[in-house]
Amino acid sequence: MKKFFDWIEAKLEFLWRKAEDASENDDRSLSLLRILYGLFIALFATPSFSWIGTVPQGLFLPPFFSLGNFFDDFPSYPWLLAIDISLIIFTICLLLGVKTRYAGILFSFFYIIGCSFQFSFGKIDHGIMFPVFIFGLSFTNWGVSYAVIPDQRVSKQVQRRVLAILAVLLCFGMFTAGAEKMLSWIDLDLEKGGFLSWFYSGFFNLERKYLLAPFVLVVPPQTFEIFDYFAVVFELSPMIALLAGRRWWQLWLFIACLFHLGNTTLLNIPFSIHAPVYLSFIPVSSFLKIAQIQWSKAQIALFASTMTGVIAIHHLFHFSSSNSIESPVVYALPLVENKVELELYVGLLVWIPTTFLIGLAVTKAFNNPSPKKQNQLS
Amino acid sequence: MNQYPNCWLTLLLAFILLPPFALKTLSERLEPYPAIILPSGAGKIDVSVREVSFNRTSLWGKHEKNNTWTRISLETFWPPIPRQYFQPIVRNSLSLKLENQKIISPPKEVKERVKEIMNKMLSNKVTSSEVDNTKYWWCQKLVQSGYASDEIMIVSEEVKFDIETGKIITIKRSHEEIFRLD
Repeated sequence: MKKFFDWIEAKLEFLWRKAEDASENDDRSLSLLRILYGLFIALFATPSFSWIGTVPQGLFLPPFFSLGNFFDDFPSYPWLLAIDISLIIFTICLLLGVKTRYAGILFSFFYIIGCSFQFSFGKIDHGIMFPVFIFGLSFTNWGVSYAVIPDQRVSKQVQRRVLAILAVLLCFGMFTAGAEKMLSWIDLDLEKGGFLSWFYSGFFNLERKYLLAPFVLVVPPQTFEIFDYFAVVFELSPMIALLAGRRWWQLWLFIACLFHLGNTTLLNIPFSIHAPVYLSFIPVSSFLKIAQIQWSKAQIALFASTMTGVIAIHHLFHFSSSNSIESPVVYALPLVENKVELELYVGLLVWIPTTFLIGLAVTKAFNNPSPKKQNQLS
Repeated sequence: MNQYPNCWLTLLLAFILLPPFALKTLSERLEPYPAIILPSGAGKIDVSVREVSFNRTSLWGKHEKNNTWTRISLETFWPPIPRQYFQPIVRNSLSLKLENQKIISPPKEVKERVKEIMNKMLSNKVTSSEVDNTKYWWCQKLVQSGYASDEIMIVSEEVKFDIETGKIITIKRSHEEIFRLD
């Protein structure tokens, strides 16, 4: 029996090492990504749950297995407002690098608590990767560089393992989306469409008629059968890409960005919350010139105070005028028809640079032979 | 445990990841939160025909001036609740029905406590006082949007579209339910 367990352990170690090699990232890149996460939340995705305190308790119908089900009712407005304010403070801490490890863990915790109540209206949304990644990345060195109060460094081995676990979680998440589709969409039947089922219900029922959506109507419906197969292969393949090596993993991340860009333009579903998730595996410090600059303490203090000031002024002004907490992007609302359209432009604003950055990483990975091959060549 | 760290980690992940997915696969209603599950949406549609039909649900209120039923614009009426929760809330009759009452009894023994928790988790709990509060809340929202506050109607329609032009061909009212709010 011991021999058997030793054999299993050896095989699993080999697989985990493969996942670590494919998903590892450097401290500087992770620290820059922490700032990007902070900016993303502060500008586009500020969580807000205090509005739940203004709706009647009769609407509280939590899912069967949920944190919400441990409660009898929605929490009162002051509690929910406290969650909102805490989340803003943790976001500022992430952005500036103030005790990031604690801030990240608490952010994820409060975010999931807030979502548990929000999903008690009878529907669960699927943005779970976002808080899970913030939680996981809190155990890496993402709070070490470009930080006002830096975290204690963790060993390289711990960081590699955490990133590998996050990559495996992402692969599993994709599997949960693709498994059911595989059973239904791979039917070799040109008369039944899976992609078009999403499209028609969105276009005709939910007014998702923006960007390239109208062009779907002029293409013969059978053409989109290929989209069904692509979606299944894409969603079931990340684990293979992860174990195949770094360049294939990054190529899969690049395809994931194209997939989301396609969803944003054709289906009008932006899902921007996954952009920072994918970027977590990209060594952005080698592309971004800002990473090469050595920041002085005075410059960091100026950046920190300016960002904190701007975020605080926005929330104070917006809360006092409309009694709600929203992202600063809400000021762009008068420029568009409605919130749906605004979210799409935010989606484009997020996905285009993300695709570009990951594309650069893929090009670099495929142009430079891996260290092992370099050794063999020399 | 130290001897087999990779085995333990893999087992732990399997223990965290697989049961929620199994529950969701069993029934959408059993989907837990939090859990690592991404949206699937594996439905299909017949694309061999030119027409596609969908069920559309809307809210109607009586206009204050002429007392006629009018479709309520959700853009102004529905906030602060996000639009994606419209369908589940309407499915629950706007929480205006007292179908499944909350079961609350003081816990006495462990067995009773477990029973109570199970009842609480399984019941679709709306108490009569909650229904009254919810009625008052919808009333206020109707008045703010310029509608009479005594009634609200949920209407389901079967809408047929032409998939080439994107135009509506027919609208058939399939169900309507009026709720008195006074």
